[in-house]
Amino acid sequence: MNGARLIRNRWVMGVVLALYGTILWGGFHWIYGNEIELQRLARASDTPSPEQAMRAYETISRSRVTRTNLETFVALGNLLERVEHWNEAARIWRLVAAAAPEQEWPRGRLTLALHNAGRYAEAETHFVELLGEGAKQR
Amino acid sequence: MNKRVVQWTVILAVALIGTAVAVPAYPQEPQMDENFLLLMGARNATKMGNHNLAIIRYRRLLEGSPTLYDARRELGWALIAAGRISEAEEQFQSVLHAHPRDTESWKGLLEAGRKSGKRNEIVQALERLVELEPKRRDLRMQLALELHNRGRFAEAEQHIAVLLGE
Repeated sequence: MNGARLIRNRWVMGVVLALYGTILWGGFHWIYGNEIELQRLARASDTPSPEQAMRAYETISRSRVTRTNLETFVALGNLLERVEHWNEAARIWRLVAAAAPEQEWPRGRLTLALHNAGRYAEAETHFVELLGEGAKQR
Repeated sequence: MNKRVVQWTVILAVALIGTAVAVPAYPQEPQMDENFLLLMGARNATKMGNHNLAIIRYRRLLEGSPTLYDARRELGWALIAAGRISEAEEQFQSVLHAHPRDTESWKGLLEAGRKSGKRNEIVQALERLVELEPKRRDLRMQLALELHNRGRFAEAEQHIAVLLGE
């Protein structure tokens, strides 16, 4: 059977297309599985379980924060706050703040996470700057 | 195709790609409300035991938003912690002026009365608290003891009877 006849065979083409689709779908999930799971947890109306949130944290926080994946880290920070894992949330907000230093809000979120984690002295240094008290003292 | 059309198409394509790259890909969230930051900053200072800094932040917050009565009540407690009892009383009175049934402010006045040793204020605050929270046995007990210690036995007796279920 030559190539042209093979292409004309519907069954062969069906199998090839199905395989192609499976590889695409599998590859997509393999690459973006963690992201998909994070978005699912982030959009859930019920509070997600802390274990699920920590699993997402452990897998996603391994990657480097850049401007292109900042949204993923923001979703992760929000998720960690929802399950009240304040130390982990603080770590994520610190990374987000470092990746977008011109933005003030990640710094605010970091400050509140540190406060909620009971790390008052660390939070205080950020409060002083956010409230412009450092400038007044100088 | 006209050469000029091609040129403009290329320029537009480059501009579009440039805009897509230049536009930040991260979410733009609104800046934090300064009042909220001041409130949290004041609470943070309180947690650190820096009551004077907490008082400064509460006052700064209340300057702009004098009707934030929760913050005013917290300022009252910070003032008590800093030993500035008369100023604390002013804050609790201010809340009670707007919300006469605010039990937390009456508790603040009770504490202020205890710190300054004002027996009449203690009794007044306890009477109001018992009126507002009649099921709180601990408050009624404190009031009965206070009345007893001041020699107001008949009034103390009424509360003791309630406590003993008589």
